[in-house]
Amino acid sequence: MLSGKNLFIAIIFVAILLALVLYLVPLPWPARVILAIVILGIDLVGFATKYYDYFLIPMLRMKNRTVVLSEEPTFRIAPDDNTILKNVPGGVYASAFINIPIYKSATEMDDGTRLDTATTFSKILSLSKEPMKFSTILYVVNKDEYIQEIRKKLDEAEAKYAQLNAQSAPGVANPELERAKGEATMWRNLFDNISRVKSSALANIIMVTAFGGNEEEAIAIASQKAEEIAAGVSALLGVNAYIMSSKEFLKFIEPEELMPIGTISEELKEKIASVGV
Amino acid sequence: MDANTLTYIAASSIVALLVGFGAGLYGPAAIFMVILSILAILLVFIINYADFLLFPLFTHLLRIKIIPTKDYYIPPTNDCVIKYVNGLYYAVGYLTANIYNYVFNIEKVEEGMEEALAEAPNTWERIVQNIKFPFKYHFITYAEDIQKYRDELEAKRGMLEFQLSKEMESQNPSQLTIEDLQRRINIIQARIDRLSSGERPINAIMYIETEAVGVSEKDARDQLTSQLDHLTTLFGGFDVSITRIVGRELYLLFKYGYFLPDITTLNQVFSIQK
Repeated sequence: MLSGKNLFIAIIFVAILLALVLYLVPLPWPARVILAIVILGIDLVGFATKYYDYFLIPMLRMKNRTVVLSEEPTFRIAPDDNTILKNVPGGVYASAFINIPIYKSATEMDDGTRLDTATTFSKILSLSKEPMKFSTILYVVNKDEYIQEIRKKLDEAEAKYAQLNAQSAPGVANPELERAKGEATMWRNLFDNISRVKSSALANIIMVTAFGGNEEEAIAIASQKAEEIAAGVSALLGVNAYIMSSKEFLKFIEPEELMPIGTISEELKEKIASVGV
Repeated sequence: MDANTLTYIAASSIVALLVGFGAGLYGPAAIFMVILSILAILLVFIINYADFLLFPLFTHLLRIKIIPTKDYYIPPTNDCVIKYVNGLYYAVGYLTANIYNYVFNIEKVEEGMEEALAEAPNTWERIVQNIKFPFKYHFITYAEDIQKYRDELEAKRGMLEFQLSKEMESQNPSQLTIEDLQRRINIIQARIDRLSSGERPINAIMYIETEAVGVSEKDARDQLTSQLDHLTTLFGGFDVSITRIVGRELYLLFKYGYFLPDITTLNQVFSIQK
């Protein structure tokens, strides 16, 4: 399939051929006008391939006003669990992610240290001759498991209270029932608070990508690049930068992992209640 | 304008001119066709310099939805990428945020600039403390070959010095031209000095990404717009120019969230600042 400059050359070639027809073939003037408009249209489409070659061919296959650029998943996780992969014509792309754990705050630094930090940051950005992506990410801390645990405890406490309440005679003081009620209230309060408050954390990561003829080659090059950059960052910042596994990096690249559904559910419930959905 | 762009514009304009020059072939529609040819050339320039306006307008008017990969779609407004998963809509949007001039690309460290640099980490922390939703600040960078960059700078300086000596030796030297040439030489010299002090030249693309969740597509998009507005206000403290990314660059930044292209592609699709 033609793409990029070759596609442009092909389209312009067709436009020039039609222009020759316009000049050399005797046609009535209305036909010439139509042909000239077609040539101008082809010419503009040709120029648009400079930026939109990825869009123009799929647009010809458009159905229901939907242009499908790719039906493949965005990526797949490599067997080594440290890289993501994507097959493209002629090879495979592999990306690896490095975590840079920084715990220093600017408020603890004097002016000299702050200036040094800005300069060191500049040096980190110039570590690689190949493109790399440095990202600072503010993400929602995943409290799904913790929330589920609290929910389980709350359900147990409420079930226990309901059971004792059903067994105890009305009007008779039952210390065990009071204790069960207190316990259920405690878990309810904890559950309400933990669900309502959203905790955020800041992470610094670097992404590197490598292209290889096959999966193994791409993974090996990406891992090597990532190791080199991790070593450079560790030396510059004096921290232990490391290559992340899928469990860790997915939360930085997948929207639903960046905002875990359980953790933000209370916020969504409030939103649903307010819009009356 | 780079050689590649020049080639595209030249070839497309030649075709439009071929149509325009044949005015005599169109009978009574001659003037109309000449105007149409001129409009086509204008449109070529508009596509080249303002495609970010044309493309979203095109998809919006024709209500075209784009599916970049499985599970994601770009709505006809072309201003965000949406993922529908677990019954929720996640909208992803981008802002340009080039702080290059502010921190790294100063020609000369002027008085007061060091203080601004030292203050940058503090400003950054204050901004982050005031953000209550997920966001990402990205730098796509690559270092340049120092020797090649130095040679380029020295060649430019040599050319300017030659122009300066020519201007000074002329019969009526223009003071304005001399001052302008001297200023440009000083800028290049400052860059060479920075290379000598151990700094490496880098190319960079900087942008902000944020994600919003909603129970409907509209809800997610409205929330995203509100978050992007909030970020625009906050990053005003960094004295950077911020614009919402739409159209082609939106799709490319989404793609580069997972895999980075090679240097040639990066240079072609973005205007990169040295």
